Amino acid sequence: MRKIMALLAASVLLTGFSAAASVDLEMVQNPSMTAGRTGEAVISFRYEGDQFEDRAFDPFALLVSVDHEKGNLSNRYFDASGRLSYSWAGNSYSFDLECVAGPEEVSSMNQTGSFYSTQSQVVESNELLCVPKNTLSVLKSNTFIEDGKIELNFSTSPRVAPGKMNITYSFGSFSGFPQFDPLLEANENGTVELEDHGIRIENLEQGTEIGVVGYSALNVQNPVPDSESFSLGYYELEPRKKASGKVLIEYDQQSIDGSNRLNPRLYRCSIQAGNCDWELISNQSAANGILKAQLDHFSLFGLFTSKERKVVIREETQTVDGDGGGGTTVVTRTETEYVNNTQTETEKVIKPTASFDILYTSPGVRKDVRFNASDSYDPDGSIESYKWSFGESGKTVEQSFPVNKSVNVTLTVTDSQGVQDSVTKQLNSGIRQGQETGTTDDRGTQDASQSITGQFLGSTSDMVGILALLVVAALLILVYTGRVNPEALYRRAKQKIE
Amino acid sequence: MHRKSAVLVAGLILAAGMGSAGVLESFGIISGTVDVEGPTFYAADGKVLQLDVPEGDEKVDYLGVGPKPGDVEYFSTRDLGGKEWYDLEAEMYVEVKAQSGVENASLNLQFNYRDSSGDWNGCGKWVNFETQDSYHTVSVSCDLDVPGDVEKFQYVIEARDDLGIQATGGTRVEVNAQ
Repeated sequence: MRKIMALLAASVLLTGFSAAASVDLEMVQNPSMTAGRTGEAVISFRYEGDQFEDRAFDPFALLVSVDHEKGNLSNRYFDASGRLSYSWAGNSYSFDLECVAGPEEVSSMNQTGSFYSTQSQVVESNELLCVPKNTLSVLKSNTFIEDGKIELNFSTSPRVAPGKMNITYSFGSFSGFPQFDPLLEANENGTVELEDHGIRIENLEQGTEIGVVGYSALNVQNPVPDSESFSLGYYELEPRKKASGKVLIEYDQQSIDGSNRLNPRLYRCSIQAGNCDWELISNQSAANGILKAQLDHFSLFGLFTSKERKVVIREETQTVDGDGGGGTTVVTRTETEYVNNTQTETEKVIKPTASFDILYTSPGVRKDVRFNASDSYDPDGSIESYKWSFGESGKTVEQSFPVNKSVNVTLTVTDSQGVQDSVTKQLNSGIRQGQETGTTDDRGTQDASQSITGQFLGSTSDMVGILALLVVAALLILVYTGRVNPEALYRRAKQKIE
Repeated sequence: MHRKSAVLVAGLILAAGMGSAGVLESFGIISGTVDVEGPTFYAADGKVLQLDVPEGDEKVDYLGVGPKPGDVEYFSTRDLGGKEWYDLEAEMYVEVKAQSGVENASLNLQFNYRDSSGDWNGCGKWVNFETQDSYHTVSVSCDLDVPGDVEKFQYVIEARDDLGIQATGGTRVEVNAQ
């Protein structure tokens, strides 16, 4: 009864895949890896064919998605490569997995009975799509995999900070999702080493049927071969690649499946505005079991990537508002050549604004100054770095300067899109302590308050001047109050001189 | 009978589900959590800063800090390949003891990185502490933003007093996230 309930649960679960198939599985082991060391985590999925008998499971694609507890991770900072190996019809096959980083549009052609349709999916910028390299998958309903394994070497760059990182692996198959609910287990002693990260997939229940979608992917790699024999039935073509000349594609069905394999179907991909327009050009088998087709542009149906779809032929950056100050819009125009057309993409980025305050912290033999760049901002993102002309980095920094020397200090901020802005201020030569808010920067902007708070110590010559002013002021007060008569003073002085 | 009916219903539901499943939609999902740990760089013989704990012949008892005020020891990593790093908190430890009866001493511990343009950036602090005859651990931490690529890390220990430090695992820098 428990098996029946489990089967029912699995069936209901799989039914949900028709819209957006997913099943959440438990990862038994939480592996760890060290930031700054690469290639540490080897993730291995292993499945045993005899556990699901004659059910086809063709794991042709693996979508790897990563999130970090400190925020989304870009696939600039992680990578994966691996190997897919399995047995089929008594033979062993092994293929390298090639991972494509998004953002990238991935297209596939799907067969349901005699109906063919294309599908596409965008690989996001925090995802990798790993597909067998140089392969054309040709499984069908009554073939089965005896044993199989996917080993994925996952590595991160040191940009990935310590913390918890969530990795999601999504399996894809032309044969649909495997007709079992995989249970993941650690290796036998219950611990998983980084170099031996074994995960076993076991079938929960047997005896269910699966609707199989035919075969498969395609391929011809660069350089395009003049003639190639498809003994394994796997090959890769990167579609939308600009191909010229004629290619002879030859299939020997007998070496693929000697009994009841369906005839191969060849499709031509006519590229219209960057998209494939599929055309069935042959599904007939020659009398000797050899199908031949001669193509200019060629494709079979299947999953492929379009990473060579575009070539950037021109990139121009233009400052629109042109005053060099913050808030300026920078427009980058990218002219891209696709296979059959050229498109121009425009990206607008607003420059950040660099700004900083100066605080003189200690008077004396050195001029210690604290710089605070908290007022810097970026209207369409965030500021990623603060660089000071005296070599320091950071939003708030301290630096000592010689007294009685004018020093220019430049702050350069860089935003999350890599756009920079700079501002320069001149430090005053006097020795002060406190907040200076009346400094004029190189943009001509000046703080309205013009207040300088703190001690003024001054030099010796400054003090003499002040004393002279005080003496004159005292004399004027005495004259004004009548305590001193200037005329009498003048006469007395004149008499003394005479 | 009840068992057979249940199997039949399950099979029908399953067939219906798979029949309408698309190619890329028919993915099974496995997810799991990976703990990423910050590296620890250990000071080792030969003025090296390395990821492995020094052992055996790599033990160094006295690295010559002091007795002249301002003596400095530099420990550097190998070339790290110019990769981006996260903004880090450097937790710096030093195994130290007095050499000649110094009771209170001070050390400047600094963690630097060299960017792709060859400039050194870093953070550090002076720390005052009571010295002992046997080795004990002193630590400070500081935050370091790393906006550019890192070519090398460097651990700088500066002393104003007559001290000895050793590199047997206790003199290290733990690189955590801010």
